[in-house]
Amino acid sequence: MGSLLQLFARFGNLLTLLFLEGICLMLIVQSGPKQKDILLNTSGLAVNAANERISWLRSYFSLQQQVADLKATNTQRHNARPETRYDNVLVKDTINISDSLYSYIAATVITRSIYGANNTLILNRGGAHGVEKGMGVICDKGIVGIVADTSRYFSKVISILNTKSRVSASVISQKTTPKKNNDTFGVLVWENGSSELANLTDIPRYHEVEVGDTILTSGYSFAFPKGHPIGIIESIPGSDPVKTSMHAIRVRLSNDPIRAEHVYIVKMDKQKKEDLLSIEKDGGYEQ
Amino acid sequence: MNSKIILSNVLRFVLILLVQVFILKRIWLEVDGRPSFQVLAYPLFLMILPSKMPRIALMLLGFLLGILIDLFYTPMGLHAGALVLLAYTRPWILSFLAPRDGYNMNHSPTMKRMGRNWFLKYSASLLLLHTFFYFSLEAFTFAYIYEILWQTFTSFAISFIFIIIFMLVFNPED
Repeated sequence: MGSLLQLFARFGNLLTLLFLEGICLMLIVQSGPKQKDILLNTSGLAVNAANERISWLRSYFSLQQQVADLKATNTQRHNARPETRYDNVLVKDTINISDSLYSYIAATVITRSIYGANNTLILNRGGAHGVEKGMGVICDKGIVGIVADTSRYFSKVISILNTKSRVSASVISQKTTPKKNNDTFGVLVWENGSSELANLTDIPRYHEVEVGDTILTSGYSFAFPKGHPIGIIESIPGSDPVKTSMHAIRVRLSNDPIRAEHVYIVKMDKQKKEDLLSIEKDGGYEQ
Repeated sequence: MNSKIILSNVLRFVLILLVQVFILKRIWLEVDGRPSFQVLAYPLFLMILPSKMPRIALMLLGFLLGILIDLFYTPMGLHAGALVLLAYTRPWILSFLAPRDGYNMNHSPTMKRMGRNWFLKYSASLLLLHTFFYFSLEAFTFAYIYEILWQTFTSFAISFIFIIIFMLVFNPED
């Protein structure tokens, strides 16, 4: 015991330093790359409530712009309502085939990290409102991220400005020629850098793409509905340095994920999702 | 250490924490499509703790302040990690900048006690260390050394202005 005290008297400062730094590094690793939800569990509701209040105050400054955006969206939504169209659908069956596949939960961003390579957002909707892990998050002009974790009243979103984020995206070319396939799809990734640009990978070189082509969500996942805008092709620097048979494509995002304030969480109809999963599990081809 | 010094340090702790997380956190400027600096003024609390404070106490206080600030930033532990490292290096900086006849151990190294020039040198070196620790920890590797140095430099310049403003406005004795 005596020698232990002696040791502490001599190296106490260093040991304290190592101990405290150990805790900090553990926290960084846990809440950073592994996306473990330390923030939601440790900071708790008090901090989130304070952030929500601040965010509420701040939203006054951008109110004008938001009202304009919301009006535009509302107009679009109204125009899309079936009542506004001439109904020429033939009823062939008693099964109602037009009920919705996706529904949306409106949410507000209450806090966000925007500086690092692994950015996240916290939304003011959680498990109590039907939010689940894996759901996509969109705003009117583009996509925002994917829900990584939920607590009862809040959820944590991995932003598309996160090196871990992977989103399936398809390319729609401007000119449709027989040689150009419209159904090309790849993976949208982001590397630490500009918040306005992302990379589209896994598009084979034999597919012709050109600057200005539109990038939409592909619909090949449960997270996003098909055809939601992501961005346009900014430049095509050449072939992928790792996978040389693929294009390297820079995409200019159509939205500004840093400033997204009012977002919508995409919720796929549970019954249809289970239905789809069961048919995928059966394999389809096997008997 | 009399109770007046303890009280003023506790008040300063709370004030700096609130100012950092509710005001300074929200200041940023976009350069080339990406936020380029952060305002990190809270090391001021560690800088002007009393001179005779032992290293362990400095580190524990730094850890406490850092963790509380971290609750408001998403990657946990960054501010605490940088502040504990800073607390560990403070005695070295103090002895490096020691005046010819040493420090009065009952005083704090403030602008009023030590003079303006001395305090500028002292706070600049500590703040530079802190911003460098912070952005190195954030990047977690020195592969991004140019980005680390760039962010260190810009954040240092902005934060330093805030620290000097605080010191000129409040100008505490201890």
